[in-house]
Amino acid sequence: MTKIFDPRYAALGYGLGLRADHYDALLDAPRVDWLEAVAENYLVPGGKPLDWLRRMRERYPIVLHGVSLSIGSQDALDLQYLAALKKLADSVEPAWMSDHLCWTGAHGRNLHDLLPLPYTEEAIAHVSARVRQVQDFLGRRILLENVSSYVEFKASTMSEWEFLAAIAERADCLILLDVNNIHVSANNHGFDARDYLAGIPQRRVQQFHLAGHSFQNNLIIDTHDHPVPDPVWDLYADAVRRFGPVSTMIERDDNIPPLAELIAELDHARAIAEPILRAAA
Amino acid sequence: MNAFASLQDVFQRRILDGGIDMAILDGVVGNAISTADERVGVYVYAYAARLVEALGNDYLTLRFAAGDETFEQLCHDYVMATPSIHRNVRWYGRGLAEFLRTNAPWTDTPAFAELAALDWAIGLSFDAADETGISEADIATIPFERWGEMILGLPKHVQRQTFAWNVGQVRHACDHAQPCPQLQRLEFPQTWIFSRKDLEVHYRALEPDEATALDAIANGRPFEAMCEALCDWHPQEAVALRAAGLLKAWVGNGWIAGVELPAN
Repeated sequence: MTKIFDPRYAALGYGLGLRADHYDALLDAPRVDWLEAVAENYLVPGGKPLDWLRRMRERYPIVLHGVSLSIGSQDALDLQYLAALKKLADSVEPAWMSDHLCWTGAHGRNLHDLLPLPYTEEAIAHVSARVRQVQDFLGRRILLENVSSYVEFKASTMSEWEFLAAIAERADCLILLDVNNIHVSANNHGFDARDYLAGIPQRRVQQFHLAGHSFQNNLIIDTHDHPVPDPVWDLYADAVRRFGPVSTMIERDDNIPPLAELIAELDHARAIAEPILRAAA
Repeated sequence: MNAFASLQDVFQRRILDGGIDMAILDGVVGNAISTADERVGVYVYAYAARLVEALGNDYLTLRFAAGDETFEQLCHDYVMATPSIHRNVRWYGRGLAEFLRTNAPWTDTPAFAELAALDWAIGLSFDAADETGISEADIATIPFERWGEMILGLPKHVQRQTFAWNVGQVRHACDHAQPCPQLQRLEFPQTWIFSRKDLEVHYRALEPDEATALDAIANGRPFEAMCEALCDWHPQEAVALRAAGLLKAWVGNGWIAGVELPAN
């Protein structure tokens, strides 16, 4: 029998974002299978942040999640940043590394935001070539995450999911599918979130993000400051049906609750996903 | 310039100018859900808000003394004047003290720049490179007759700042949740040291003679030059004892990362 090529890393289960508020509690936390660390928080020379990261790594598998690769920028890739990232990865030995399908600035400026791209052939070619460069540099396949967006460009010639899928295939990279971001962007731009899921190639999806959000007039803003809401849980169930046992992680960056509340949310993710996976087995 | 790069240029321009440049609006879809202006406005607002929030994490003492409203205004002024060139937002606030020192109306309150310098020094010490301090045993390996030639090295986590205002007193109040004291100019400038031990940052004012001695070391001068500097503060016969006492204390605090002798 011919084995179908599957580029994914082994799944890790159900994880949380590593936040300083939870360092102590995470030393002895139940039912947290793995942690996602924001790489930039640990791209510092030394001291307490790196010490905590080392201690967490002794207890958990860790993945590194970057926020400033700026893969879609017109600027050249920042090799100094990549070298620092690689050094961190050499020390942490993450299960995988991810960043966002976006740009964060141009002409040497950094806007510290995840800015959307026009969905065009030109952008696909630009980003795909750069992802290959990054993967060669880091010596590993990376994940790109779909971002929440508030604008769409008139220049776009395809849907966001066609854009993401084309880049993943052409660059031979993996996808970090942020279920909340799909919900947010579907609301903000008036598309069907299920169409998005249906348009993403199954064997490229390595990780799910779940999070909460806020409302501003008719727009939903990706603030990560609330529990995961019901529409996102519903979409998560659909995502599990389509993509199977994908490592799932809850993001919380503001109004951070005690760790027990996030673990309860993680239990809820399990309660949704496990019956679906058992039924499909 | 291609369309792709041009789009990024006009988008970035509007974000950095706080929402003035109109060119990006022609390229953005507006519809019944939200107008193009509102949509782009989300990014314009988030840019300043995110950087002000980052500065708030780095400048606790300044925020404590200035109050939330004034702090946010000064941060906003800094953000509008200082586009970020850093991948990591950790370093964005590097220029705040200098900005406050040189830009009106903040020059009217010179203590603000010193408070910013104090906070930044704490931050630098907090995540500076891990360096193991030398021990008294390491010093003991140096023949006593060559002590004068010793070049002592300070680790990166040792930071010094000299203040003309009572910013150290403000920090103490901030640390202990006490009311903020009135900002006052000191009778004499005071040098503070910030250092890290067991991953925690510690800080205190240096005695004037200790500050002078540490200056000599930080400037790469030999132990002998440090002793000469102490002569400004102590009778000749007391200098050796004071110098030895300081060295012992500094080594104990982990403030000395290396000792070298020049080649014979």
